[in-house]
Amino acid sequence: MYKKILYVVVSAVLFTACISKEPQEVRLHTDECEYCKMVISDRQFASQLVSDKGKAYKFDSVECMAAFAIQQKDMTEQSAFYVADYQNPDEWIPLEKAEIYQSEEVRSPMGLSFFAVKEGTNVQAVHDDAEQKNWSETMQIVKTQWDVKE
Amino acid sequence: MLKQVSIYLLLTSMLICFPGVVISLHAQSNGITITGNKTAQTLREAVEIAQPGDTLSLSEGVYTAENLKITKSLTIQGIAGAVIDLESKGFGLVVNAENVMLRDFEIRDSGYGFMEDFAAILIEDSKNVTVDNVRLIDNFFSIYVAKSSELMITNNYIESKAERQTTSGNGVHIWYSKDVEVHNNEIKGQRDGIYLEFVERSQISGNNVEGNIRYGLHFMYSDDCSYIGNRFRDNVSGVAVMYSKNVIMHHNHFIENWGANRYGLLLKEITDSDIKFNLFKKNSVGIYAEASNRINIERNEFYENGTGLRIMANGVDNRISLNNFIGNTFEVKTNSMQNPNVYSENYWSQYEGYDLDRDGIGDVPYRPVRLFSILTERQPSSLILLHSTMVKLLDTAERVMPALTPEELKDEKPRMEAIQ
Repeated sequence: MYKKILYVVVSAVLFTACISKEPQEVRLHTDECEYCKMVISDRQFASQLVSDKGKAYKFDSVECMAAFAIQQKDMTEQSAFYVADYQNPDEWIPLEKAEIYQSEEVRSPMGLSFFAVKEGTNVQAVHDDAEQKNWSETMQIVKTQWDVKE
Repeated sequence: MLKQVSIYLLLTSMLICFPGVVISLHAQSNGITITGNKTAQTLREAVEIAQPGDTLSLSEGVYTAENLKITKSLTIQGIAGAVIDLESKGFGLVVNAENVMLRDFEIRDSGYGFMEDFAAILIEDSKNVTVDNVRLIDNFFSIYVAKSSELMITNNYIESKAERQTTSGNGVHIWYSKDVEVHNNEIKGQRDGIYLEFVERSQISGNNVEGNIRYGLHFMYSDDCSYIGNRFRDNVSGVAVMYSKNVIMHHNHFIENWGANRYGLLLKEITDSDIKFNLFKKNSVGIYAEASNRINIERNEFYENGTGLRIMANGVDNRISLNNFIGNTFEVKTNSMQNPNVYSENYWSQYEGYDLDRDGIGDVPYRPVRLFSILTERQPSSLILLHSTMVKLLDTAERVMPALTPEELKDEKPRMEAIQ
């Protein structure tokens, strides 16, 4: 009996201590991009990172999240990164399970034309000039194009 | 007897209705006259047989034009009641030519989608195109301009229902173009009323932009442009000017942009620009400026805003002079103890100084940043204490001896009376 109570108490303590790093909802036309201040109004390019304290930082584009990550390196190291699925914008993909592409045909809100899809998507069928970039390449491009300082 | 009467009625009603049927058919099938007395059944046929330089005159009636390419110099001239119905399918008129004029008709119901930017009128790789007095109703993007120059977009009425769609387009969207003039249009219910990205040397004036779900006017990377005499009301934010230089903003009205994250004018990384003779009324924040340098804010009216001017310390050498700040809850807000900007000869309705030498300039300098605004900057929920006696006491004490507010942020010559 005591053991049972103990289990309940311990698990209760454990659960309250647990901070969710799940992606949070982006309210279109209301939430502001943490990096560029623009109101987020296109789910297709939205991205967000959730810090180890559980605070979500939302962005209107993949490039803004990259720029923020460069600027706030220490804070973002422990964060969970998410990108919206370009082809299915209501879904969030964890960055490590996403593929990032850059295509001239795509007009992202900040003009660097990055977008994200699920692993294994045939992107070339939609945008034949799309080039895949990994996350550090993406950050490097944003860093040089926008002259972002660490 | 009854049967006879009803047959009689039926016959007369048919007689009355029949001419109407004939007329509407007539309008649909025989509506286009082309220069040189040619006629065409459909718009597509008319565009095909017309010679460069011809005018297509539409008569009253409904036309279709899904993805209709215009690749030669033409004028499409409508008349009241001439309507191009795109039936929710794809693009409408696709202009890819020099010297094209589209005027005096209505075009409605373009396709919607999130993979393609469908537009009622798409102007691409073109030069010298005019869109004048066209009604654009319920389109995704209304007018979309890409890689073009010398355009006139004037006197159009644009209305859409962006808020009912999961995805939304802009009213006048201009990308990679130069020398574009957008004058006297009425734009409602789109995402951004007017959107400019990589645009140079363009003028926007006399437009009335209302009730759009993002910005009334949105600049991205667009240098050497001006917008003068426009009215922006009840958009999520009035105007956002971002990453641009040499922008002239004169004589505009920024009204009723009220709510969280809403601004009359949002400036982000703007340099060498001029903001004069504008009215900022009833906005959560009149002007918000971040990382913006060498901006001249002069002779504007700030009335009844939550915050008149919120200026972040990551911009330098801005000049704020000869403005009227009347009835704002907070006149100026900032996030630093330093003041890299100049404030001079403004009228502040919260100024309580005196003028013994009667020269119209207050004898004591005025510091428009209230202590309480610093607190709300750090802890937004403390705003609930705004009108408490304690806060007023603290504010007064702080004004006498600044400790927490930026000491250097002051107007040495505050005006005693509002500037006319």
